[in-house]
Amino acid sequence: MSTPSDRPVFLNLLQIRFPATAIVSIAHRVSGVWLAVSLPFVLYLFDLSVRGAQGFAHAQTLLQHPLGRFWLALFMWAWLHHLFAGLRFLLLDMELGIEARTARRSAVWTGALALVTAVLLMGVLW
Amino acid sequence: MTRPVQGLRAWMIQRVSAIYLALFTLVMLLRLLWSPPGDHLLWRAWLASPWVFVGFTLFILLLLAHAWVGLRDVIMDYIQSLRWRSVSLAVVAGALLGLGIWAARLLIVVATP
Repeated sequence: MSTPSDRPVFLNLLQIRFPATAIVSIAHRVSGVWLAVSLPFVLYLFDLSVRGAQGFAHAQTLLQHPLGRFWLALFMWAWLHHLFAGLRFLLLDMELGIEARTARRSAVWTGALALVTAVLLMGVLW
Repeated sequence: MTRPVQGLRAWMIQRVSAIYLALFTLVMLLRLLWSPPGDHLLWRAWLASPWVFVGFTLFILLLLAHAWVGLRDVIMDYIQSLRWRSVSLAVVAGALLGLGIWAARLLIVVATP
């Protein structure tokens, strides 16, 4: 941990302007945390599905319930955004698309792609 | 890894696991969308098939590692107090280990028809 200094700090999130790259990045972090927090429930569904025919059916029922569907939609979007934004980060690690304008454009496309594929996937799963 | 660069091991684990997780989930999703197992028995049989079982076990291990590195980064970014940082890391580590043990038990159930 760093020693405290007298340098000014400005962290008013309501006033700081956020380019697309920042939004895709924080969404990648939020989706990651959300996926991690969802793990117990996902494991529970998996547990139900392997324990017997009744459990399997129960898991299906849970996912077909309106709340279950809503949760699944959010989960799919979180996973897809985390995946696509993550792949973009891997490319940036290799310095591909690291120039500011390219990066901003790829951020917009990544976010849009994640949302679109999430909608498509939910359409298929519904 | 050389000493002067701290955090390289965690970064590497996160990146390498990410690649496997991405590939595995994509392949599995496509496979399951193409021909979803109709009932419990088909589901169990598919999970127990050699490639799927090994791939899936590896998936769980790498997922827990990936989640740990990610959550640890988040905790280190937002919690400066040593006491609460330690508590949070301990809780998260415990939770992930617990999930791992639960998953291991389920894998044993799958592996023993």
